[in-house]
Amino acid sequence: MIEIKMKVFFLKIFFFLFLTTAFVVVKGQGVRDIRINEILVKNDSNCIDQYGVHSGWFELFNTGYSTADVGGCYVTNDINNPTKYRIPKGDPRTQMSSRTYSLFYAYNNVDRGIFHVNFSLDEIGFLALFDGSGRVLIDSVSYDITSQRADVSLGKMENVPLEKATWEIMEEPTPNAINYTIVEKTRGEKYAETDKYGVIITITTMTIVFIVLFILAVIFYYTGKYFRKQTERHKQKKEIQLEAIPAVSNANELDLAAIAMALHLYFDDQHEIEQTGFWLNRSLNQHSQWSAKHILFKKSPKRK
Amino acid sequence: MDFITTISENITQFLSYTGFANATFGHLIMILVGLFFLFLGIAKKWEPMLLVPIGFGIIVGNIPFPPGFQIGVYEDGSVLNYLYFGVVKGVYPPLIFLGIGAMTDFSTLISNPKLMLIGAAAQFGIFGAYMAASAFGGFSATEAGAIGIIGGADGPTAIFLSSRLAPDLMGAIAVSAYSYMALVPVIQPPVMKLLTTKKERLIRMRPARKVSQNEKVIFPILGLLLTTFVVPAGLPLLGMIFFGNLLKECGVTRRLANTAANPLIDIVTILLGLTVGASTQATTFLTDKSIKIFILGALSFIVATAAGVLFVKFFNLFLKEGNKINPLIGNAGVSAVPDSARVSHELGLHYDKTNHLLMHAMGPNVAGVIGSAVAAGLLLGFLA
Repeated sequence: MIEIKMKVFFLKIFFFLFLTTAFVVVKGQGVRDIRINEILVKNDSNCIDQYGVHSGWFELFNTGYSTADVGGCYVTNDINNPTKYRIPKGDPRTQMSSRTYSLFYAYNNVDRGIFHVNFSLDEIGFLALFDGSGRVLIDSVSYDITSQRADVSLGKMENVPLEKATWEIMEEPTPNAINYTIVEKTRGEKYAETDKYGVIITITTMTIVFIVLFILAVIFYYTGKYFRKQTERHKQKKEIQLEAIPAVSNANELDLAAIAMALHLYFDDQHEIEQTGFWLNRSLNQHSQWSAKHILFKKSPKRK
Repeated sequence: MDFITTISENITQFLSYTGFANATFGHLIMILVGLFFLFLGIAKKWEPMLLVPIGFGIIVGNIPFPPGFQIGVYEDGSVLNYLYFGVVKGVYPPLIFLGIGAMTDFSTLISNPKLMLIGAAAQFGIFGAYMAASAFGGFSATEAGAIGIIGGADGPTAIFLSSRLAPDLMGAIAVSAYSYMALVPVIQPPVMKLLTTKKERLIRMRPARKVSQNEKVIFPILGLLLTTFVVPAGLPLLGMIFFGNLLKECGVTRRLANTAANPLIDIVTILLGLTVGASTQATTFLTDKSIKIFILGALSFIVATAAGVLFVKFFNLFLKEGNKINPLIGNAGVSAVPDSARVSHELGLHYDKTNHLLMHAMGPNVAGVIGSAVAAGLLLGFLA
C-alpha cells in the first residue's frame, strides 16, 4: 500500500515537472542559428571585394552563442533550386564564431573564392539559406528588385529578439558589422541613472530571494509532513511484523552490540569506504585487548 | 677589452632582470600582505585551506620581474595566465560549488525549512554594501553589484560574479571576501551580542527530526528546478551545488560524490587560491578602490550578520513558545560554511554549556549558500 502511494507521489512530481518543462522552448544551436542579416542589391560606391568589384552582397550573422560552420550549407536566389550554391566545407573562414558576420559577394562568379556565389541579387528578388541537406530552410528574404536604391541596403536590427526582427531600409550599409549602430546604455548604466542609491534593486532582489526560499521552505514543509506520515505508517507495519519474529536467543551481547554499531554506521552514512555489505567474522583468537597476553605481558628485557 | 665589456654588459643585463632591480614599494607591501595571510593561515589556523594558497599566491604575484617574459598572471601565454583563465572565465567557482554540494548535508534545513528564510534575510548584507558603494563609494552599478556580493560571504560566488560584472576589481573583491570569511569569528560575535538579550541567547531549539533518504534525494532536484526557473542566471552555481548534493544523497554514485567532495574540490581550491592571490599584483591592486572595497566588505559582513540576527528576532514574534529560534543562529545565514555556524555554536555554549546550536545553525548556513547564489544570479541578470 505504501509502495503504491510512493509511486503515485513520484508520478505526481514527474507529471508536474513534465507540465513545467513542456512550455520551455528548446532552441537548437549551430547552423540553424545563422541568419541572413543584410543585403545590398545595387552597389555603386559601397564596399568592394578583393578584386576591386562593386557588386551586390549579402551578410550572414551567427545569432547563436556557439561557433557554427556555414560550410556545407546552401544559398540560393531560387526557391525551386535550393542547392544552387554550396558553400565549400573545410575552409576555416566558414567557421562563424558567436555573434559574428560573414559577407558573400553575389555577381555570378564562382571563380573568385568561396565567398563569391553563382547568382546575383538583382535577378529574382529572393534569397534563402538552406542547411547541409538542402531541404531544411534556415532563413529567407524576399524583396522588390525595382524599389532597391543604389548603396542602400536592407538589414535586420540585432537589438531586438530574433523572432521580432524585421527588415528595414538602411541608408548607410554596414557590411561585416552590426546593423544596429546606435550606442545603447548597458543595463548597469540604466540602473545607475534610475536607481542612484540602489534602493529599487535592493527591494526587488531581496523580495525575489525571499520568495524563492519561502516557496522552497513551503514545499519542503509539506514534503516533510508527507514523508513523516509515511515513516510512521511504515514503523507501525514493521512493529507488527517484528512481533511475529521470535527473539534471537543464541546471540550473545557482544554480537548484538557489534551488529547494532554496524547498522548505525551503515545507515548514518558514516562508512568511509563503500561496500555492498558487511561481515562480522568471529576472531580465531578468543581474547580482546583487555585479555591478550601479548599486550599485557611485559616484554623480555634484551641483553645489550 | 671587448671581453670585459661583454661580461659587464651581461652582468648589468642580468641585474636589470632581477627582482631587486624591478621591485617597487608596492611590491614589498603586497609581499608583506601575503606573509600576513600565511601567518593567519598557518599560525592562527584561520581558514588555512584558503589563506595559505591565497597568501602564497600574493607573494608569487608580487615577485618583481621585467615585463615580456610570459611570467606574470596578466601576461598572455604564461603558465599563471593559463591557470588564471579558470578564474576569469568563471570555471573554478562552479566546480567548487559542485564539491560543496557533495559535502553538504541539507538535513537540518529539510527538517526545519523555516530556517531557509534566515538565509534569505542575511543576503541584505549584499545590498547594504551595494547601496553604500553606489551612494558613497563612487562605484558604477556593475562595480557596486560585484562589491556587494562580498556580503554573501561566499568566495566562489564573489569570484564568479565579479569576473562577470567587474573583472578589474576581482582580485580585491576575492581577497576581501576570503579575508573576512576567515575573520568571521572576530567580526560576528560583537554584532550578535549587541543585538540579542541574554534571555534570547538561552533559547533552546527543538532537536531536528530525522530526514528520510527520499527527502534528501528530492531536495536537490526540486531546489534546482525552483531556483533556476526563477533565476536562470544563477544556473552555473546552483546547478552545480544541487548536482553535487544529488551525487551525495542518491546513494548510487558514492564514488563520484567522493571525487567531487575531496580530490576535485582540493585541486580547484589550490588553483583558485593561488591564482586569485597572484592576481593581486601591486600595480593593479594597490589603488584607493581596493581600500574602499575592503571597507565596504567589512560593512557588508556586519550588515549581513545584523540582518540575520534581527530577522530571527522578528520571526520569533510569530512563533509559539517551544518553537522559537535562538537568534544566535541568525549570523549563520551569511553562509561562510561552516565557520559562521561554528560561531553560533560557540557563542551559544558560552552562555549555556549544554545548548548545542551547531546543527541548528547549519540550516541557515547552507540556506545562505543557496540565497547568495540566487542573489548573485539576480544581480547578474539585472546588471550584466
